[in-house]
Amino acid sequence: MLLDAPTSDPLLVEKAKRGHRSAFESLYRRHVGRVYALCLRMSADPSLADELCQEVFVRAFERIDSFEGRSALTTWLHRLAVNIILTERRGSLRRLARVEPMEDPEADSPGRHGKDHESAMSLESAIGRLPEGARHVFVLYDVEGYKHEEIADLLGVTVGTSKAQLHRARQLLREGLR
Amino acid sequence: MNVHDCSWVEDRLDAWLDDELDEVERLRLETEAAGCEWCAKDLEANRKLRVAVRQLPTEIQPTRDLWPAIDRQRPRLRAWIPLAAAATLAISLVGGRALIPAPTPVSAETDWRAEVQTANASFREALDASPNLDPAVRAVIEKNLADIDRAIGEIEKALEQNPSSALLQKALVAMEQQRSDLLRTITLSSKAG
Repeated sequence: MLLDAPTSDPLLVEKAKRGHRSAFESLYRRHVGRVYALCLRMSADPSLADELCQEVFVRAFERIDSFEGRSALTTWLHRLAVNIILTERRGSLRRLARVEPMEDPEADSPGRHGKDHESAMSLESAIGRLPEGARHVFVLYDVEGYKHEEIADLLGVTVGTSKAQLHRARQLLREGLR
Repeated sequence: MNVHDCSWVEDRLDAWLDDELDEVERLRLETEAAGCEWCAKDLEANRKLRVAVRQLPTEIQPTRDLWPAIDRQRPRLRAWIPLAAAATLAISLVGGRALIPAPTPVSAETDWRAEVQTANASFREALDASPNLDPAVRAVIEKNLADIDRAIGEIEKALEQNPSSALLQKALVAMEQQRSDLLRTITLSSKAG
């Protein structure tokens, strides 16, 4: 059962810290859309995104006591989600069957689908076909608003690599929109 | 007269997208692009990309409801009575008032019950070894623990007759949780005192 809206995040967090199941569920319902959008765009795989999103909330609830409210809950969740996504992509969740993103843009370039897809939905689809590295940087920089320095830190690459991946991603996406 | 250079335009498309060009460069890029079919398409694609990114939905729903699975893995949080309230609790106990912590959220999962029982044993040892606990307080605690244990015994008997009763299972876990809460609170209180 959901709590009556509008209950603030801080209040829900306090209730969640006391173990109120309904507060956990309200927090989940309130934030799942944003978290899942990030998981889906980063993973380019709906099933994997489900797994990642679930993991984000399980870990968030495990660590809810450590959330002190210095930042907005959505920011805290977002950071946690990025870390989980980037960690899990190297780990066990990769065992899940998935369609590998293209590595050779000539083989299946977003550009091949571009003329009929000029909406945000087609961009969504094109993002999913980007090579993983370019996709991660594009989503973090252009969609989520991270800075190159932050992305470099998260991905364990140099700022120059982050910029190069962004350039590559945009170039491929532009081809799809030409 | 300048010769058009497609690469000059292409090299600045990202900067255009990020609004990092000064006014002079931006105008030059747009002028150069207007005079070249290829560059014009590139710049137009850049504009579409910018618009499309801004139109991306901020929220997307999962392919299925993830809450049931998350709920099953949710940590078994308990509403520990804060340390700050321990003194009040002790006073209540000295006054002889029956004290059982307020009901706390429960899980019907049996593995959690095992965790609680293990924790209880640990708290119990700490309580037995506590040198700071007033005998009168200890007596009241023991009475409350006995009351809870009696309730647990009755629920367990009822469960033997009706093992699939979710209500009884929840009641059992709730009582064990209360026992755990009480033991933990008193242990912490005696350590603090």
